[in-house]
Amino acid sequence: MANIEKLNKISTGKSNWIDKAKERQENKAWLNHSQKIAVKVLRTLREMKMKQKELAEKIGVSPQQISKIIKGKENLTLETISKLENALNVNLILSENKPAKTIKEYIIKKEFVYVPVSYAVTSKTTAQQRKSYDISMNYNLNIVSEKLVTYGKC
Amino acid sequence: MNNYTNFAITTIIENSLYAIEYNNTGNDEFNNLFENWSDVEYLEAFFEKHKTDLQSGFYGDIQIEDAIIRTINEAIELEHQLIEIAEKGKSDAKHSLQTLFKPLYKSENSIYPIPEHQKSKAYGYEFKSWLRIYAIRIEENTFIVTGGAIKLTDTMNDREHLQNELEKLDLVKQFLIDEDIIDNDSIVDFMEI
Repeated sequence: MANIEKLNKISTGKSNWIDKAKERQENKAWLNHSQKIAVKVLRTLREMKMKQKELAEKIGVSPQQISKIIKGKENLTLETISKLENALNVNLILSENKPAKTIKEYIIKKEFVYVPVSYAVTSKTTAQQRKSYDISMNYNLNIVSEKLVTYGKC
Repeated sequence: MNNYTNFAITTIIENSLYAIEYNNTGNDEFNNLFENWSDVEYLEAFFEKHKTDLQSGFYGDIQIEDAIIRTINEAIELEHQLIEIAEKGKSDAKHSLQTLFKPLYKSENSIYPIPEHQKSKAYGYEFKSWLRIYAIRIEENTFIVTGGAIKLTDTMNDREHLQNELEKLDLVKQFLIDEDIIDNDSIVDFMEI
């Protein structure tokens, strides 16, 4: 049996963990934004081979402030974010909507629909078959446009 | 090899969870782990140093940016579970530390055999997290945290930061014997989350 009483006796006291853990949970939402910005800032600094001190001078804050920012533990103001964006020439608060991706998805889906139709129609295809293919193609195109609208709303 | 000359114990959950503070740093290992796992600067430097392991395929080919965010999210989730355990106490079997910790080594000679339903979690990697907290179990539901790591490789033997954790487990076991908290014949388990 282990001597738990002795363990409690030599313990130097309560760990700081519980208070800090609760703080992290309570501030989870804004910390998440701060951390994502910190990742972008740090990776850009590495890419540009720029020192933290240099960044601090560029945006007119203390090196200690930069240190907090890159740890992802700072509740940043929009003003500071804008200064960082200008100094590093990056976008730190990207929009979740990515129109370019929507267009790409559309093209892929459009190609997917056209392929079976184009190989199926030959010089021997009857008028009845062509009509059937046309209906089928139109039907498929309707599905494509429907999917595109849904995707755009997401 | 690191030099651990001074050991102190802090209480996280009385009679249940404790952590070691090395060399009078003022911060115990449990607190340090969660501080580091929420620190983007620390994580970026860590993953940059271990980029080869990160992208070697054990966890898939993961970009450093994604690895940082993944670590932070996993740590928040783990911390959430630990807060629940700390607040509900060890009387609630569903919220006891035993549901989180698993043996570091498979051993027949254990204080408390791991229930069958937990074995799949222990060795089946249902939850493929790379966060590890290492502890010594001295009683059924009493654990002393010795350290932790981000484990990107299959084994602990071939990476310095992981070998360091094994060394800490041995050193703390000896410290507990020296302090008469356990004796030489006590069965203790090396555990991990």
